Amino acid sequence: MIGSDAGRQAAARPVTWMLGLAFLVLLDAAVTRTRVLWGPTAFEHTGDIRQMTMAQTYIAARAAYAPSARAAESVVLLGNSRIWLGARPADLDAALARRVAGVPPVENIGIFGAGAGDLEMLSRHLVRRRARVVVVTVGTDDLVEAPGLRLAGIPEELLRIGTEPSPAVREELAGRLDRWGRTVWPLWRFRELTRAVLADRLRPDPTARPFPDKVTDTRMLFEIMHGAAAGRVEAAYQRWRREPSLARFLEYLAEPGPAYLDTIARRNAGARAPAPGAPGARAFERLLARLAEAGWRTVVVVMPENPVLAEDTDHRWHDPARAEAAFALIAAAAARHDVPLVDARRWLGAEAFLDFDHPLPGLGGFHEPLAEEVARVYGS
Amino acid sequence: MDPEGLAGPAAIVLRAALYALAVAAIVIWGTGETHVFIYQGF
Repeated sequence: MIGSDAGRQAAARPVTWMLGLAFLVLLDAAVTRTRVLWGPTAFEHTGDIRQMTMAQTYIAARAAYAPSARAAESVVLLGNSRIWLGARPADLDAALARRVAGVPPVENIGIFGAGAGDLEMLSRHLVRRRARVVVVTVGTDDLVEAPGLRLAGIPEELLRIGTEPSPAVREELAGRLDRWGRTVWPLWRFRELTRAVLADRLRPDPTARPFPDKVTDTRMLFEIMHGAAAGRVEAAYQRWRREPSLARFLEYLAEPGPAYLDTIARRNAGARAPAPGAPGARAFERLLARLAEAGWRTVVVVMPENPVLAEDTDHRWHDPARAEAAFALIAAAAARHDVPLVDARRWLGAEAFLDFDHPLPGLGGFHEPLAEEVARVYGS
Repeated sequence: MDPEGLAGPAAIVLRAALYALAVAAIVIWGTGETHVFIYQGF
């Protein structure tokens, strides 16, 4: 029929194109408003570090566009890998249940590598739903840009919408057109996530496994992170635990390879203290303003810092002055928006950390004092 | 009923459906590339 005279005539008629547009709208809704896009996937549990940011961005988008039935009573955790690892939902759920009855499962939508610009962009989507409490977790280096530190990366690119550009990116014409397209056309907005999800539905990754609810010891965690190298990493970790010094900690961190310490050294050498009005500060400010405008009950948690860094007297791995300047900026922004601020920087001992930045999932105990703070806000 | 009249609407609907599918496929598979995270200590 397509090759027939009738088909050729149909191709030239405006009604064909109008009907095609109508079909596209229906197709768009059938994908972006249903379980086709938002149903469970293997993709979201990928163990491939290169895919994790995209998978976690997908989970965060699902929290905005396909929220649970009890979303309005829920606790949402925003941040990056510090909170993703540091407050696993099963641990925090149990700690919260001892303090407040009937809280639905915590939604930890931390995204690896997310900076202030990524969170600001994510908030443009999240405010379409409700939540009882949103916890904005932030490290003192999340407002600065340096080698290995981005204010806005993959989450911002995948979730870019709105009438204004992100304060954290310098947007060219192509970026602006993309943002407008994503704003008005859901299938364009979710095209990368849709492709990943459809590919997963056709051929699920057989190696994908959900991160365990309970991490019972460091060996278990190292097996997930380092595979065959887990034994020697565990041995180096135990050497550090027997002899808790910065030197032993560095040996442990270098055991899987030089990438982590190289990144931290470059980041520390390249980062400058954030200034008021700088892109990171403006993105954080916009994030808090948007959550306040949407009527979300928000608390800002400044994440724990590893006390082993006190031995870093030549400031190779961290810069206390930069951290203090960032903290002052975060505190001032929270005060301006009347958001409670929790300073968790000194909450944990060095044994509670996986590395310089990340509390050990479960084992670090970060979920307990965090649950205390969340319960305080939840019940108020 | 005129046979051409039957063929006309059917052709329009089929063409329109193909156009919609083609656009969706191009958007999803043509521009929906995977964003790869380069590990830099999270």
